[in-house]
Amino acid sequence: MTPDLLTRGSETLDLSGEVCPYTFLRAKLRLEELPLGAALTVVVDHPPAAANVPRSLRAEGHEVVSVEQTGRACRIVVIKRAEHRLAKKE
Amino acid sequence: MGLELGVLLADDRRLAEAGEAIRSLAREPSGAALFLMDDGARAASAPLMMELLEAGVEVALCAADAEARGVLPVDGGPRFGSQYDHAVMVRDARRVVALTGDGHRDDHAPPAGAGRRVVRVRLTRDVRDGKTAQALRSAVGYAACDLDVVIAVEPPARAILDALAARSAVVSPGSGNLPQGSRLLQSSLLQLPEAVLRAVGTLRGLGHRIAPASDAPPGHLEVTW
Repeated sequence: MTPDLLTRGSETLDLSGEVCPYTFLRAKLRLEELPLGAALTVVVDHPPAAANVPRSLRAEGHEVVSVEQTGRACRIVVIKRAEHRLAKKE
Repeated sequence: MGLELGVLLADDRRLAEAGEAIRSLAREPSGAALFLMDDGARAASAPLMMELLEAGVEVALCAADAEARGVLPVDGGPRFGSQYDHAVMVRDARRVVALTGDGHRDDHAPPAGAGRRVVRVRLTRDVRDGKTAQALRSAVGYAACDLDVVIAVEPPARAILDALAARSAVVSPGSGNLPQGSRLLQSSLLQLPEAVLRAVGTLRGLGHRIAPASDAPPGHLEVTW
């Protein structure tokens, strides 16, 4: 399935203006809310995030389907493949 | 085997100390990881860094900090990574050494099988010192990587506690004079740089503890800034 088909009707998380570690943290928190197998498009515009966010998401067990650079913006399509929840303390 | 040693370097003037720690504490260079952040990123192309890389040490740096300091990638140099790499190193290494500047050296080997690691991040500088914001940014990275974080606030950084206390006074039921409390809160928040404010809010939102150093519980390891 192409990234276009995967992401049709799916959610987009626009993290333009965000830098590390908030890019990864916010992507992770959003993925937590989605069911397994759901697609999420993450948009980042901080250049290091284009490489680092996909790598971190893969390391967390998710499937990164595509990373597409358009000008300064980078669109990362990820499929949730792991259940993971940041524990709330207290 | 796993990662034997993780070294955090946030001051390029202490690269030699980082190299010595790796030589003396890791059985093999390939069992060690070095993460450069803040001013440590300036050491990216130092001759000793190249020696460590050639020996097999895994070296990554905070790309955002490198960018802020005009440090560019070099062939065979450190990988341009993120606070995620830093947090994974702190989460997984059997021993962690942190060299953050001003002579602080933290060296901890959390007990094996201790469960989820608790990292105590100790703030010893004024809230407007850039290293305080860096400490809190790295703490957010730890939280994002499933580490438990305790922020231990020493007196120079107490403006953080003042802001939290003022906020608590405003939102607590039955808090007396609300307008006065709001003014106090506003005044307290204005003391905090935006990066500090955001990190504190994020850590609190995720349920991590921020307390005076005298009351903050110990962690499996500590990083002093």
